[in-house]
Amino acid sequence: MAAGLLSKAIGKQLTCVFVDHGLLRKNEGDEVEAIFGPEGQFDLNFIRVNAQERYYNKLAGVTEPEAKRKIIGEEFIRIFEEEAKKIGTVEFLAQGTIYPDVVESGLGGESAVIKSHHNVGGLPDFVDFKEIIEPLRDLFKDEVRKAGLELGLPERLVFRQPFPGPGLGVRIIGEVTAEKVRIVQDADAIYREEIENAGLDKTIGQYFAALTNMRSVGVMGDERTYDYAVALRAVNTIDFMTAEAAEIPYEVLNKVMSRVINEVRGVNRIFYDLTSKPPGTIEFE
Amino acid sequence: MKKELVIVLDFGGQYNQLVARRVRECNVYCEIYSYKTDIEKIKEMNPKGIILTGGPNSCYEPDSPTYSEELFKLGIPVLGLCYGAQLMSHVLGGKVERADVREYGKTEVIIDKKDSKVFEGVSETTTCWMSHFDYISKIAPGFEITAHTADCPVAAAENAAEKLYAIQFHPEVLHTVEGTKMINNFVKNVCECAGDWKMDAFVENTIAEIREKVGNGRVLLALSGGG
Repeated sequence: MAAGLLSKAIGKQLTCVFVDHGLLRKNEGDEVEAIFGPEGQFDLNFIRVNAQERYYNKLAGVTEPEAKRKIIGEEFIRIFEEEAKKIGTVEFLAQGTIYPDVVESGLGGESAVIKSHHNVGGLPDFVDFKEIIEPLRDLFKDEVRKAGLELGLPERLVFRQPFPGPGLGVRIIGEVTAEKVRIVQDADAIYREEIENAGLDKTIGQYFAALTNMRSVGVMGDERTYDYAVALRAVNTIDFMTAEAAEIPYEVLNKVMSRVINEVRGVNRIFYDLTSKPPGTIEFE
Repeated sequence: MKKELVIVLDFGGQYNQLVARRVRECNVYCEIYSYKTDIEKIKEMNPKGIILTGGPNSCYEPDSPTYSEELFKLGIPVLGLCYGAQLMSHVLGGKVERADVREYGKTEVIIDKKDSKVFEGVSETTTCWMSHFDYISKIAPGFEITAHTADCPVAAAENAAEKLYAIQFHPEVLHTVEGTKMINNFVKNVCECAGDWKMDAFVENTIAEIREKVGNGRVLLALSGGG
């Protein structure tokens, strides 16, 4: 969204660096490139960095959630820094900060919860620039969406499901491997497709598949399997702060179960997460 | 164009952002500031209205967040919500005490002053979200009670001449069925905002501001898969 605004304002004076950390949803890297890349509708310079392998190597053997987040965040900064060096001097660094980030970082109100946001923290120390531009810092999320529509951004992009900065890294419990990323990407794609087919995509607040750390015994075609369990999550938020598990019709869940187990190798069990927030959280890590 | 501004003074309430969102839904720009914000800064911002949020404290205790009486004498309309309502009453000479019965959750509120500017178009009995253990036992001089519940004699009070409004419940929460209407009433009827803060104007202004700031400079932006 920030890219759209900036592109409209200053065109080729803007350079976007897109780091594909291999923890995006299925085909998402290509979708981003289709929109912002040379074939897309925006006038800007686009650099895509395919850093999948680099991330998987760094994440090998790491299971602790905070350690995973930290590696993902630091690697992002490092890659961004390398690209910035290639480009040379830039006067401005743009960030997609929105108003809740400003308030939560303690600058706005009194009920401050200090949180480090993936797309804010850190960058200024590493990149040489004169000033920060945050064109969206006065807006709430739904207002950003309205602005996006106003700008003529595609609806698919504007109403995309919220996605955490560390991406699938926090939806794979335990160690992240290329194999696990493939499993969760495929399962998630099927889940989203079936939710859309059932016409539920506009009514459910947020939904995604996660990969648990649990393997269990199953039987498929007379053969014993010992595979992972996928967890399906779907929540509706009532007031932006609390959430309840969505009531998805059983037939839809059943269809997702059957398709994921049949189509995604490495999965032999499906769970539906009923936990509300609080006491749970929406994401798994 | 000078845009209309309503400010929210945050006393540590969990719904602070919701208040700002509701105001913006009335097409009026709204920002959140700490209750520690200096009065001179507020005068400088010259808002059309001020909203005081809820908070976890008891306003009659010595170290609780407070604001000077001057805030209520600026001639700027003030709406106090929950803790904000209690604080307004406390500072202006009313009394706030610990209630025998705490109210929490959906509660039927009976509107006593049907022609109150903030309750325009609101049903006589309306479901509201309550969350408090202190209550206003005596309203401040110049105020009148405008709503009550079975357990709470002052669910709302106002001093219309001074444009001061106190509401014990939480109109910003969607559980308060007609809450959005009440906030809209305050912003439009009391603060007299036109409500012309719209997205098309925002986009246009922001693009102009970026151009002016950047000039011929270059801008670098990191794109991630997320929002």
